Amino acid sequence: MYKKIIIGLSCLIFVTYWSITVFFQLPDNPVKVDFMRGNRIFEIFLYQKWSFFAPPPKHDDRLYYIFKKGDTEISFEVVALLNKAKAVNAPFNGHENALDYIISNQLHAISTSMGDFYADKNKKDIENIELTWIEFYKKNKDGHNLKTLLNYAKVVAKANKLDYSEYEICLILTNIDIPKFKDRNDTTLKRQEKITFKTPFVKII
Amino acid sequence: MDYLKNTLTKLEENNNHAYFLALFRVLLCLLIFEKIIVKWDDIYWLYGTDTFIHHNSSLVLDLLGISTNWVRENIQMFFILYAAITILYFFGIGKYIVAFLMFLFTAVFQQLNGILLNGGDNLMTFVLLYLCFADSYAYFSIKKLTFQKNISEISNFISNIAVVSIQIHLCLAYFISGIFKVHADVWFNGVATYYIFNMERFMGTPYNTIIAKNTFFVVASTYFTLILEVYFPFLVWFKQTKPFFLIGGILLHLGIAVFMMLYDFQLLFIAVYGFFISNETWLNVHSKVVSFFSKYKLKPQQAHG
Repeated sequence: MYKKIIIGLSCLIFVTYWSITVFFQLPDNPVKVDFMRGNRIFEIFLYQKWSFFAPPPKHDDRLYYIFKKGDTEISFEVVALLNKAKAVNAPFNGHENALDYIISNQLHAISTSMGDFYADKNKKDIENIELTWIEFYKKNKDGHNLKTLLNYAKVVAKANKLDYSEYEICLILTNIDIPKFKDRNDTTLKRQEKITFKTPFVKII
Repeated sequence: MDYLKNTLTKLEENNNHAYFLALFRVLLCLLIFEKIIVKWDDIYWLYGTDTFIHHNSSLVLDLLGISTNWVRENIQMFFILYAAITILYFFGIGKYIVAFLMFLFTAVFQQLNGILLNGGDNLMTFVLLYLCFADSYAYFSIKKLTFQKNISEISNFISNIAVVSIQIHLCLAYFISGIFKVHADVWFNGVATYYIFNMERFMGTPYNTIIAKNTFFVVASTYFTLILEVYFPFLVWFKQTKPFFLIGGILLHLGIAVFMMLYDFQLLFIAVYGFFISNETWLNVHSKVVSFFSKYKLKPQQAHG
């Protein structure tokens, strides 16, 4: 008897678990949207994301650190160097790979938050992009992503033998477009670099 | 109704994946151990308190009433314990208790630095959760589990549905990935791999950009990926189509490893494919490997004789 109960219970758990999992993994359809609260609870315990490269980014990222003391400004770009080191040391690139995940994931998280921030605004409100960035910075400066990137300035400063406490620091995030597929053989084409976000100069502690 | 009854009875009769469950346990432990060793030099800044990374707390530790910060302060001890549990699980010591500890430690390990996670880590958590219920100790284990008939049937049943869950999860990952891709223009129009091969972050070889200029390669590799991901969950279950999808999947994951430098992720996905191969086939392979090595062993002895 107890065998039947355990097997019956296992079947019930199995079917319920898989129904919920499949349901919450589907794209946002109207039925799923009605259960968004349930989705949030589901994600706390059973978070999963399988939409790899859908779509893939059409640009490379760049992250600049500008160190300013009086009239002197020194700038460093970190992502291109990191990508190069990652490729050179492959397949034994665990250190570079970890650093790449940390930096890139922060950059993507910031650009996603920026997208949401823009979506909440009227076109008129974002005519002055630099003011919008400052507003975004003020709203998000205590968030994990910006804090991590600002903290990383200490590592950049140390690697370049600078005392970060003497400097004000600004972060600039840019995108460099990958040429469109139809332009892949056009050797005259220059890749466009666009600033996507810039912080004001700040002191880091 | 009869079909359902027969299926349930079949699930009770045998642990249908006893051999590969054990082999998979060993492979998984090696994969986790490799992760621990690779991360060892970086544990303080990746997981500890002396770091530039602004971390979240771990949900598992919060639920257990353990301070995440305390674990970060003692991160080296955490890693030593994690390695010890991996070794115990590798040898099948402690059975289900160690399997559960393995799941908990892996969940904490991942939550200590959620930024580092990829699809492979995500799949690994779920696979370890299912393995908590499976009898993976019939082979490569210090001691086998022995049960009375009734309990043995329950154990077989639960082990089998744990394996089905691992298979379904792999299929779910592919299917969801596939349908999200179909929705994206670059995948639909057959040019997605051009952009992926040209991303600096994932430029695994100096030839990526050259290969990505070839129109045929770009279109073929894009649609190959799409077809594999969308159809794998349906066609991997049939004898006639299974080999194509398993070989295709291995090629896809090896390609991702070589050209995109995403290594551990691919190894886990390929390892899970073993659950789609029957126990009899695995046992045949095992006996061939054993006889090969025993022949190899005999030769020097004969030479000495």
